[in-house]
Amino acid sequence: MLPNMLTNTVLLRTVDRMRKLPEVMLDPQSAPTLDSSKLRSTALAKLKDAGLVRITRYNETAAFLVSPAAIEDMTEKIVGRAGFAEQARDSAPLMTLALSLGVAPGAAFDVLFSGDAGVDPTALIRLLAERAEELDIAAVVADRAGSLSEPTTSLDDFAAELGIDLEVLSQDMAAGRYRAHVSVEA
Amino acid sequence: MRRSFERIQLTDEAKADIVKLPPAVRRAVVSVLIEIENNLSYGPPLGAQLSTGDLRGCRKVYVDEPTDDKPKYRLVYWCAPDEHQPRRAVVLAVGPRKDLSVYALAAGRYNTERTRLGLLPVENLSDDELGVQP
Repeated sequence: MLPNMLTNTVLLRTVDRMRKLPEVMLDPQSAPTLDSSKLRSTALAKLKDAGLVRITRYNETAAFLVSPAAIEDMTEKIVGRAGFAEQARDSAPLMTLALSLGVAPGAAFDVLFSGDAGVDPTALIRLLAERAEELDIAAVVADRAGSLSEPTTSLDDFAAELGIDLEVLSQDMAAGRYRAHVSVEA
Repeated sequence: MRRSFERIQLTDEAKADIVKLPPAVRRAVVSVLIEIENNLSYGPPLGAQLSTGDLRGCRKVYVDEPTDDKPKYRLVYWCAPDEHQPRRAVVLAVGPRKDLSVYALAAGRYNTERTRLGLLPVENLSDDELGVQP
């Protein structure tokens, strides 16, 4: 905070109220300015009304005045977001189940975030219950078991694709004829 | 009798990573995979860091073609299904260490692969559940 900012009208060039706090925080230079002849009472009145007042000097933002109510509002939002993140994280097993039941990721997200209060796991659970009724669960389990046992590409096949004979390379390594530059330090 | 390499599994993305490498580095990477086939705990374990993502349960190896310089490439693999009883090594990503992007790639693929196998995302599991040392 600048010294004597609100009483020294030479230092205090402009004062204006800011109604949209996030926008100002993101782009302070876009905020409008006022005439320089505003007094402390005007600034404080605007602060009470708007929650945030930008102080500029020679067209540059020098400081912001923030009302206690605005600070409390921001704090609530930050705490709320932390809770939201925690809820979303707790919903990960449900999302995993939804994906494994063939629910499209977008649809699962839409349902999960459909509630007014943020994450709504009950809506996703309802969707999963409906989905489970539609599916032949035995067939899903059999399909899942099949995909689990289905290997990704083996090294034998891939090395052959690369034109590398694993048997020869293994023998070269064992005999010390080939040694890659490797480090396995933690 | 020809030996079979059954404990190494390569995701399509990791295969694409390796194909993009210079031929001499590809050969070095395959030699590392042979080492991992023999010892799933070959590389040191990774952890959860802001710069690399949550890679608990995975391991890394620094690798390069035979040279006197420091190895410039990183190979990240997952000891699946967990470190308690690893049964196979799923190769997640291979690439230059530059800007640590190989770790970010591996972190994303790690959870994709876990989800594909019906396992929970790594972020939802404790060190103990993953079988890793805290």
